[in-house]
Amino acid sequence: MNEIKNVKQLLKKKTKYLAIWASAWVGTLAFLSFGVNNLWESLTLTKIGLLINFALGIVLIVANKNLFNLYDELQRKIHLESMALTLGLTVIVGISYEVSFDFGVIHSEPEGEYLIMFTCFSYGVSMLFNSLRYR
Amino acid sequence: MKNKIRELRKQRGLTQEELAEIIGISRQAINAIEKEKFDPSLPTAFKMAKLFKTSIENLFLHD
Repeated sequence: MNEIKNVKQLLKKKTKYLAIWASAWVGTLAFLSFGVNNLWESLTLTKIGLLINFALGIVLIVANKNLFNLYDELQRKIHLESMALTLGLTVIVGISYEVSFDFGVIHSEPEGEYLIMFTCFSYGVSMLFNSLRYR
Repeated sequence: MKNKIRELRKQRGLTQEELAEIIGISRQAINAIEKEKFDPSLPTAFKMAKLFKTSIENLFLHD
């Protein structure tokens, strides 16, 4: 029983870490974008900023992996199915959009940001759908 | 896969939460297993069989 309580506490702790690192990564990215446009012109500062942001991104990935390893078998299945669905959707929708643009069917040029937003959206929807499915 | 988890759990007067804590998985996982929406891993199946003092073959019935 104590072991389970420890796992629950550890889950809370790791989720908190993930939130902190995700905020730090997004924060540095936002600061970097703002800084490059408004605060400095030095390429060296931009490179340092990019390195810090990249390092935080790596820590974020490790934090996410650590949290994933704490999930039980059902939670892992839900996340894996959501990831599989998101990967498939992102590739198919991304390529369809690109090809449609090339063929002149769509006139709005494909942007990387759209794909990232679509990935986040489809992962969120997949998680919700799969969580409800196994309730 | 069909199983007798709910029946055996109730016989022992355990809640899903209590069983989840003993086995070491989430309550949602116990619920999904009982509703036969999700098949547990082999280690979980062994833990359940040991807890209910029965065999895996008796606990889980292949369709």
